[in-house]
Amino acid sequence: MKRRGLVLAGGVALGILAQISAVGLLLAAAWLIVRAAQHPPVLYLMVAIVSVRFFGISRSVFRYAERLLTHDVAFSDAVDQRVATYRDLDRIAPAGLSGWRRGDLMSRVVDDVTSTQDRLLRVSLNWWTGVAATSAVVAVLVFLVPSAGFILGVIALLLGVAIRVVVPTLIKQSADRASSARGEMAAEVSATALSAVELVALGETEKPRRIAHEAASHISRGEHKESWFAGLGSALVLIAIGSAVVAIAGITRSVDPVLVGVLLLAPMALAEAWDGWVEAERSRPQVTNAEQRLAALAATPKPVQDPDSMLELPTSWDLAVTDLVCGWDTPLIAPCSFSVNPGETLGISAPSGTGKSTLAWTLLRLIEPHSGHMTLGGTDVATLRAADVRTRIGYVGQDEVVFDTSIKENLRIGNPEASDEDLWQSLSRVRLAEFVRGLPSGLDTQVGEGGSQLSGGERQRLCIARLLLSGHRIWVLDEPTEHLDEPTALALMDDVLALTHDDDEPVRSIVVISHSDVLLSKVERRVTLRPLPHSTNLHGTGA
Amino acid sequence: MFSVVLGAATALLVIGISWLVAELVALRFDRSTLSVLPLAVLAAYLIRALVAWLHGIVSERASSNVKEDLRKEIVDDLVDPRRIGPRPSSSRLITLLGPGMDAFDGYIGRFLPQLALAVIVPVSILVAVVFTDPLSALIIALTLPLIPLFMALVGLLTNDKVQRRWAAMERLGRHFADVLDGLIVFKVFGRNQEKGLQEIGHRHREESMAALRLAFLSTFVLELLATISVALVAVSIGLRVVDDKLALAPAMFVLLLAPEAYLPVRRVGILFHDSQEGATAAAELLDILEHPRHTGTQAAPADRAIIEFRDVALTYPGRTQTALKADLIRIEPGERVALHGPSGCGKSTALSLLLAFEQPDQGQVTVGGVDLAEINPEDWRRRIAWVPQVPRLISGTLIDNVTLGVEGAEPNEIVNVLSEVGLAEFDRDRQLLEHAADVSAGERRRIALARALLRVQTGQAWLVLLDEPTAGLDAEREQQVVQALTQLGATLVLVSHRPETLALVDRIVELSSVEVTL
Repeated sequence: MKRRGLVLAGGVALGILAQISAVGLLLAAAWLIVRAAQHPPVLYLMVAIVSVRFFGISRSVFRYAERLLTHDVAFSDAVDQRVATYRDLDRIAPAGLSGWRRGDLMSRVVDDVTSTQDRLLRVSLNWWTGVAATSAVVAVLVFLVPSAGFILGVIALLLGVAIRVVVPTLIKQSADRASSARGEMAAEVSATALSAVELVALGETEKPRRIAHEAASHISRGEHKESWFAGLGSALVLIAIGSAVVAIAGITRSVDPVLVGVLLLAPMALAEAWDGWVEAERSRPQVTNAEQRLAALAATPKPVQDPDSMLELPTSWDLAVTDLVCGWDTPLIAPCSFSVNPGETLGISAPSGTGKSTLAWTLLRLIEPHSGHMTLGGTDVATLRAADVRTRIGYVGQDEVVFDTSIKENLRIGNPEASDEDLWQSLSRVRLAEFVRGLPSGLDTQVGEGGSQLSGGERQRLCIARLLLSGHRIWVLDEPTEHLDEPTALALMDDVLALTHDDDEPVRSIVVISHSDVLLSKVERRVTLRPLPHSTNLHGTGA
Repeated sequence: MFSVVLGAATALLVIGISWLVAELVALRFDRSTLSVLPLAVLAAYLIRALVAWLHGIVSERASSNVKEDLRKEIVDDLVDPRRIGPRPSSSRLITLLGPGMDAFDGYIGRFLPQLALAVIVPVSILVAVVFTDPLSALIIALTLPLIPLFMALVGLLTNDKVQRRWAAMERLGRHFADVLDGLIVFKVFGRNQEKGLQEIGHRHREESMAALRLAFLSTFVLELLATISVALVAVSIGLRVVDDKLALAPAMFVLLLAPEAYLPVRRVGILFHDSQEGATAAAELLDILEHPRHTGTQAAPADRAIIEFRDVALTYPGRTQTALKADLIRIEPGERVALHGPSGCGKSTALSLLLAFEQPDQGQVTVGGVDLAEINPEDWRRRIAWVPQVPRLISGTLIDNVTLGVEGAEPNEIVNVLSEVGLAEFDRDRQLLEHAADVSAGERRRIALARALLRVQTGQAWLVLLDEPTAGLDAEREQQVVQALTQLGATLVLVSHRPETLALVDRIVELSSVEVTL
């Protein structure tokens, strides 16, 4: 943090020096030439000549150093911002995310974080250096000829206000439209990309194509409207320079002739500094929008609130569920009760469409139940930290996510410290070792986006192997063998269910949620999940 | 064209303003009256402001139009029915359409107009200076060409770095997409991704900084050349003014013009890296748009026909393992066939070939004796009802989803089909989202099955492709649907592992496992 402050201060100081050097070059040259016209001995010009040469070199040196320092600050800020945004997303998942379209979210996060870098690089820095250079020139003019300094000061102030307030107000509306249109476009394209193959197979590409085209035209229309204001700032700068030159010319009748060049050229020397303000305001709307969206993300509430005073996670891991009702916005499942003792296997029989995943996520403390109780080791889970509960209760779903990296890295999500030997062992327990050994790159084989290089069965086995590597005591398996052929599925189920004990010592309990009677015939006990009739509203009942 | 006219106007105005201001300084130096000169200066600045405003509008619109066309082209290509091979991932597309497109803003909106100015303005100024002070003209003429020379040299050096920066940006996008997709997994395993994000972020930062150190070095050289030349000109004319070899007014004129000669070239230098990013984005665009296309034009058989795989082999680009090898598979009209075999034997590839999403490297897939490569793929797919392994939803109601791609289904037919797949209870007007977390895999599957049934019932499709039909659905329901499809007389090709489902078919085709290097 301290380093950041120093680097930033250094960067800003260098930026100001660079801007002043640019102004200094022209004004020193103007003074030199006008003074030369009075034909003094050359010696009298030496200071001016040295200044001109100095400014001719210093400007680019300062500028180079400034850019390195400020970009370094901006890039590390962006990394922090990205992590903070991830923290926000992680906090609200999965509940907060269901209403958002994936592409939109993704483009927002990646784009917005990049945009926030521009706050420093393109907005703040341009204003700071521009204001500093303008103040310096105005101060010099006030010292030489107060009225000229006053004129330049007033015109610079008016210009600053116009660029900062008037032009942005004009631009704002169309920029807002263009930005939301871009989000729309990203969401459309993402949705279309994910289902492109199916849409093509159905011959139904016309509508998504049209919608995406409309979004593209919409963006373009927004940009066309914006273009009316694109050159407005630059035009204002030119008008300000012209007026300042003419106004100063009007009051220089009686000043010392040697100062005439400096006075008349002062507004022109500031052109670059003022153009910087225009550039800053061009970038500002995008930066502000991005910051606001990220702030909205940070303000989304957490789906499962941790209790104020959290209890220690109990060492025992028997799970008891009493009259549990769960669902997203409305209750989905009729009250259910069951218990799982260490080393036990329990089957939850659920016809498809009864909210199996919802139950699983409730058990994992990812979403709050509507009513009912759940205790872990005799302690009410509501008094425990949700993340602590998840160190005991693990999960494999039916379309479990694998990551676009190597098999090894995917497995190591289960246990980052696992040795290759551990990985192979867990792979052989889920009967995947032979397949992986057969791959040219073995554990380092890349699995592709969404595990597309693996078959559905291989993907699922990989996920179970991943869970094996972690230390969860209770496994919640949601249709775990859905993509496996029956003999392998049953054999795998036998292997998995045998994992409850090590040398007759109970080491984990397993809850299998499935519609398959064949699968559930393997477990020790079974309960049946019943959907709630849609008309019934259970809000306010139960606990 | 327009920007050339505006560039020429800018050049004339710059010269005019410099001359007027120089006169102004000279007159004030002599304490003479200014008469209409100030008004002329004001007028010149106003016109220049107008030109700058127009220039902004013209360049912005040009860039916006190009981006619109490109975005549309990418979308068209994404859903191009004649595209062969895998489609680009969504995160790659989004990077390209968002930040990738902004690279064109820099290129078309700023770099190209600036390039026009960089040619017109310095040449005009040089002409004006030659007539005023040949020595200064010589200094400018000698230093000016050094700038593009250095630019080209530095460009050669940085090209590689810029490409790596682009790759870093893409990797960042992919990593984020992955992290967002896997938020739940990470939560379950308590694996915080902060460190990973930090590492990738810092790698991105280091790569960017390494690229920028060079990129900035080039701008440093350019700016140094430009400012040092202005200093040289200033000192040289100052000394000649002292010696009375040059009057004040022309000296001032040259001093004001000298930096203006370098300014547009310097701006091009600053924007040069924009142009390189634009070129890199364009290359990425081409990479997505270039792929083999289906060329078939014949009409597909409207009624059931024999389907044959003859000596078919397919290996995906970039992979060594053959995805599918089938000597002869013959499927009679109305036959129910299951493709069976161990994982990786090419069951899904066989479906992709039937859907004309892929074409075999050797051999052919024929329908009614005609090579599928000769048949219009859009027409052919109308004859297919395909239920993929993980069906996707579109935004819309249940009915919108079920009738997607179905021509002329009666309302009562839809109701029947819904009850047949067990969706009678489902709220038909509820708005579904494509990434809906509250529609179970089983329900998605039923929606896709209902759609397939409708397509066959309406007489549009006669070939049904079911990929892994047991996913998330109870076996009984699946059997009912398969039975219903059989009654309609459709040819059925399914990929399944479940004995209950395999029991429904007439014949099981064993796909031999492709040799795996052990």
